[in-house]
Amino acid sequence: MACKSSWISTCFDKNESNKMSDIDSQRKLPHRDGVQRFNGSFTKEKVMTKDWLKEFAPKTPSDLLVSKPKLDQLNSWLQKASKTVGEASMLLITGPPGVGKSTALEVLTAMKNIQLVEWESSVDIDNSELAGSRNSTQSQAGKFEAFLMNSGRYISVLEIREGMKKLILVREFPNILILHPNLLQDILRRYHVMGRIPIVFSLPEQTEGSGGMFPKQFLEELNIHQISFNKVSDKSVMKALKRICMLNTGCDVPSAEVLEKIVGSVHGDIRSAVLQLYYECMQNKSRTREQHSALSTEQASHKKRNHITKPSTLPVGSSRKNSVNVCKKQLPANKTSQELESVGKDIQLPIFQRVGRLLYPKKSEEDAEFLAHDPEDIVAQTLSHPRKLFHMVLENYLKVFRDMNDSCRAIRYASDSDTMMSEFQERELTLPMALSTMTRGFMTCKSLVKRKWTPLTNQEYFTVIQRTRAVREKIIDIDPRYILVPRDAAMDILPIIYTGLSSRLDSYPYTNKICDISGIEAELTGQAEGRSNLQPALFTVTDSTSEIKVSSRKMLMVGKSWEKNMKDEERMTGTPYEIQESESDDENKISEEHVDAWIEDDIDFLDNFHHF
Amino acid sequence: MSLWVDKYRPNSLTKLDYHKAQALHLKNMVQQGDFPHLLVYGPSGAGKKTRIFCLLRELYGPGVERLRLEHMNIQTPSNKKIDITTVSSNYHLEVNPSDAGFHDRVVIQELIKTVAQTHQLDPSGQREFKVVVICEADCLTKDAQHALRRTMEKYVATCRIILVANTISRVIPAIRSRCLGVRVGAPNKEEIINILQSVCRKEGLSLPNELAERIAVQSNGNLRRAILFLETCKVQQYPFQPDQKVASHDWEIYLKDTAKMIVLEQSPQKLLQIRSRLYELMIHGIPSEIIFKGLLQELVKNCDMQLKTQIVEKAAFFEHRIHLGSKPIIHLEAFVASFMAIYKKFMEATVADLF
Amino acid sequence: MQAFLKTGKLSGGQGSSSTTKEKSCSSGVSKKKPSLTPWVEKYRPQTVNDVVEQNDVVQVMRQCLNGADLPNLLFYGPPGTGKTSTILAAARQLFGDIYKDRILELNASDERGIQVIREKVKSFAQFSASSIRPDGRPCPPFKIVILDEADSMTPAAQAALRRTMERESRTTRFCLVCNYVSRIIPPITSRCSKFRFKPLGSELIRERLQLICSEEKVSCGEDAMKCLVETSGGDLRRAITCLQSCSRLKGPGIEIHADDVQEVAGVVPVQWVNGMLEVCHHNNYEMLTEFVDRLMQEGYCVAQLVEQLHEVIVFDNNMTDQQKSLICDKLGVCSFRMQDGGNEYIGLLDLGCTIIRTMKT
Repeated sequence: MACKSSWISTCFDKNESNKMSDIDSQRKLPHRDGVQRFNGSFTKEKVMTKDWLKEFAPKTPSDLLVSKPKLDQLNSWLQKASKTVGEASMLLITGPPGVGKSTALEVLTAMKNIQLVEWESSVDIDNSELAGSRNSTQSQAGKFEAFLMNSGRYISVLEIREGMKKLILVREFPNILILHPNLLQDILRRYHVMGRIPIVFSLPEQTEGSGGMFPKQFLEELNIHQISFNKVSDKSVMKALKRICMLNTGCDVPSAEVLEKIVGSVHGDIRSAVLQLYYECMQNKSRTREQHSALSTEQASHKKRNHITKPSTLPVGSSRKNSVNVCKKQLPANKTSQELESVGKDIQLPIFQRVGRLLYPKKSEEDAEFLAHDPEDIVAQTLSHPRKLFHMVLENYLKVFRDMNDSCRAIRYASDSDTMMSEFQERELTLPMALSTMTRGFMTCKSLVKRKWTPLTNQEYFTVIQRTRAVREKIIDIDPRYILVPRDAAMDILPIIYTGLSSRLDSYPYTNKICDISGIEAELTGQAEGRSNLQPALFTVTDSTSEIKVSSRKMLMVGKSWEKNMKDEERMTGTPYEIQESESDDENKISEEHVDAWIEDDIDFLDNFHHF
Repeated sequence: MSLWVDKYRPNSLTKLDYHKAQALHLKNMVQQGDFPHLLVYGPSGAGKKTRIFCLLRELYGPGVERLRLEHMNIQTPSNKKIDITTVSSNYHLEVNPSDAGFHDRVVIQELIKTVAQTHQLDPSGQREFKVVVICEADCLTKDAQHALRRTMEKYVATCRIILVANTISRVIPAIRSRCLGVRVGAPNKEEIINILQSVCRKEGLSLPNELAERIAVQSNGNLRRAILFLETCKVQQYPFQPDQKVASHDWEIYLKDTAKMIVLEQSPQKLLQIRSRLYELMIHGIPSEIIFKGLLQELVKNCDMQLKTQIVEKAAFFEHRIHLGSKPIIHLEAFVASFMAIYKKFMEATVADLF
Repeated sequence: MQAFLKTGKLSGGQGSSSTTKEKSCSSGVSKKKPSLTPWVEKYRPQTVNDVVEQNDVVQVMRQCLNGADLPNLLFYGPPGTGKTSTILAAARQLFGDIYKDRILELNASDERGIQVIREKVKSFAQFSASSIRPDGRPCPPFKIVILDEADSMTPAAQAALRRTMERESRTTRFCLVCNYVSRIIPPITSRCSKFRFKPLGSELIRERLQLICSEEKVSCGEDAMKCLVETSGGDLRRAITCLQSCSRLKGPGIEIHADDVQEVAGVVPVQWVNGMLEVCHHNNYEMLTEFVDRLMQEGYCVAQLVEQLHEVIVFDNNMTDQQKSLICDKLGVCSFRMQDGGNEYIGLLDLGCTIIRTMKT
């Protein structure tokens, strides 16, 4: 009801307002900035003041860094979608941040003259005003649905006349829908029936299995096409940076060395690569100026003119003036260390790499007494999410260690670290100490062994939490008398009346001897008919070890493909962990964040449970 | 529908089967109309809760048997909401504040405040105070215990507190000195056998004495476990056979097997397997100290005295750490790793001596 | 403001607990159920002269009663030696009937943050006290703030207290009561006259207990009395509480035995303590585990056992000093671990193993 009244009053305005806010938002949507850009006529002086992301956004499909097959998929879907009449087609694009999901879509739609309408879930005063006083309390989910219905079912007269086609782009969802994917799915189901305009969802990650917002069955149910973009390979990033350097003649361009550093640091995030390049260029420019001022006035004036008219500092540039050459040579010599700093400043190593550095410590090349990587770097980067590193290291170290004494020492350090970490009152003090103990302990206590790549996993703790909770709920289900004594209940009562839960456990011997409470009851009351559906031999405990299956936990979240890929990479780079996860790594990134979030959520819970 | 252990739970102080003198004392105390705060302690399955329940019934009459389950919402100063489950009757309230983990202090304060400030609605009620039973008091944080000590004095007029604990070593002296300690030791073998026999009589079953004895031995002084074992034996096979197998809990077997695995092979890979087994146990709510104890008992079996001393020392060290840290698994694993390292060295030395 | 009102109300409740003490002291006999009053409250010393064994402080208090100015006070010493009793008795004598208006008792409870202390003390000290009682008799023109369990205050709160003490010195005297003077920050201790309360001698405790026994008509055998005195360790409150609990458990008119006292006091019987040492002499791990198992089933407090074991070992004539120190070291570790929540079974085994090893050498 709420959405109905709002669409009657505001549907056209709303589209407008949406478009407006789109332009306002500093996103790199090329088609909005008008025609001039397509002509490519911008002046050099203006360059530095513009947003490079917008400025150098790809304009043609060939500029895109998305792999060809994926692009073709997207293209053909767009074609199909624009032709389909009746039900609205839906597309789900996934991929790591900064690979150019939206950009690709925008480039293609711009070519096909399709108008993009984007949903913005940020609270927006216009929206609430438009919704009117009656609906001011309308939920975000309601607004979302209203937006879809408004823009998706009606095409404004103007648009029809111009032959424009429309496409809805959804890049973010109201929080409520993220928390409750069911709501989202219901909305989409309704839209599937009523809507006419195709929708594209662009999400950074897509969780496997049922946990995510778009479970597999749902995708199939609504016939949602899915394209998952892969991480951009370093080569492509480099290509893109070079392209920008070519286009950008407004300032000095960093050396190839710096470019490589940038590429190395961004891990396939093209957006951050461009930003870093921008930063570098700015620095270059100011430095060049300083140097110039140091030169004789005559030379300086000569150069300045030069600089403005044609600062041909492209790495491949052929005809250079003498002074420029001097300048160029000086720059790398005294700048390298600074450059490294400036580029490396904001690098946040992915957790996988940090764990890798911890588990496979490399000796410094100069002096074997020292470690190649400063443990404190890892500590500093981990301070915000200490537990995650902790869990991952713990989960994986035994797969790497070969010697019992080393393992013993390592876990001892972990034990020390955990003790320190639990000191909540002096947390600011103890947390870095705890992490440092852990990091240094693990990095130093291993006698050097042959490196063998083992996939890192990070789901064990999460699984444990989930299952612990399940058992805990089971305790609550039983006789209220035992709720308050979970210790006793878990040890004595649960093993006896274990029921439904055990069927889900494959490694615990409980499974072998389910005893239904109803069974006991039936026995007690002597109901013969109740006996038929009881498991035979309720308590056949045999104490042979063989019967107990060794736990075959499927906690490896890293898929096989990634593992294979890692091995290939390892051959190439020689280091098992500093691997850029490039193509076909869909699975490894899956739920790093999710797991983390869950873990942080659940820590209290689990800790309490084990604290009894 | 209920398990025998609940069905045949005595409900009056005079019907208790053992520690009769103590039961009489408690009865005396109640009959004088008042009692101080109590601290009831003793090993698991010795009948602490049963005794308390009898006491409450003596105090308030059968009204305490009408239990209801309530969920209370308590907000911490940091605005975190805590759900606490309580079991209560018109006269008393049972709660396990350690459910709330670090926030148990708030629970204690708020809960007791609420109870103490609500006066008995029924003016004809015999008692002018309510009773709050705090389960697993030994798991309370020190913070909560300090809060409790204050609360105990503050609301002594309207509220009596009964603390239930497995061990009072963890209860701070300030609380111990404010409570009347009631020690409930485990029943001895004969007492357990008698109880098992009487349960069987009430069920109309005949229990061979040999079987009863074996159940009693296996239960290791834990009466609840003994009765549960008896009931599973009954489900398994009736009429009873004197040589019938008494099934111990599967987690105990699992734990024993884990220990056996540790003794068989010492390597990081094995440790990895052991860890998942330890996790498995913890998932099922087996307290880590019980795991520690079980492992220790099993692991030292093949060692000489010197090795035993070392291992016990390690166990004590890491078990203590569990309480300092927040992740029991690490310390358990550290203990197992230490054992493996020590044992491996020992075995290698023994083998070297042979040749 | 809301919070203040609330805590103010609570403190009222708290204060009233001391007033009920007072009431029951004065009119204990007329109460419907006299047994309800804890004997500790009932037999609290009524005047400063009743306070036993603490001569220094009694002397100062007497002078004060005779008109001298009362300094800020810091009482420290083991529990049950009469610290709170002394100040309460003195206040009662100083102020007579208006005594409850003139003292503010703050305990180491939840509501003792810096803010609360400041506000409460401020509002309490706000009005100057007259030097004449309502009945026309003179009394000192100040109020007394009693800070019980002051050692559990955070250093920050203590620092805040320092300023308050200075500012309100005109109208208010502070009396800090604590167990460990080392936990009070030096600026505070230097502002107070310190008095150490000694543990009470066994004769004094016995005297006191016998007085109570005859008042309350409790029959207490000689061995039980001895046991009470021994287990109290100079803590009179503990001895009295124990006596009362025993008499309640046994019912009126029935004689109390040493066993009952031991049970109530939570003391581990001597045979277990000696048994532990004995079993260690056998140098047999299995016997040790069996012993520990039985002990655990009995449910005795192991921390208590460790304490008692310490006594025995220190006074054991058959051990060398070297051995004693090794064992005592472990006793300390065990005790520490158990306080932190360590498992008693494992701790005791560890202790046993150490004793066995030490005995062998």
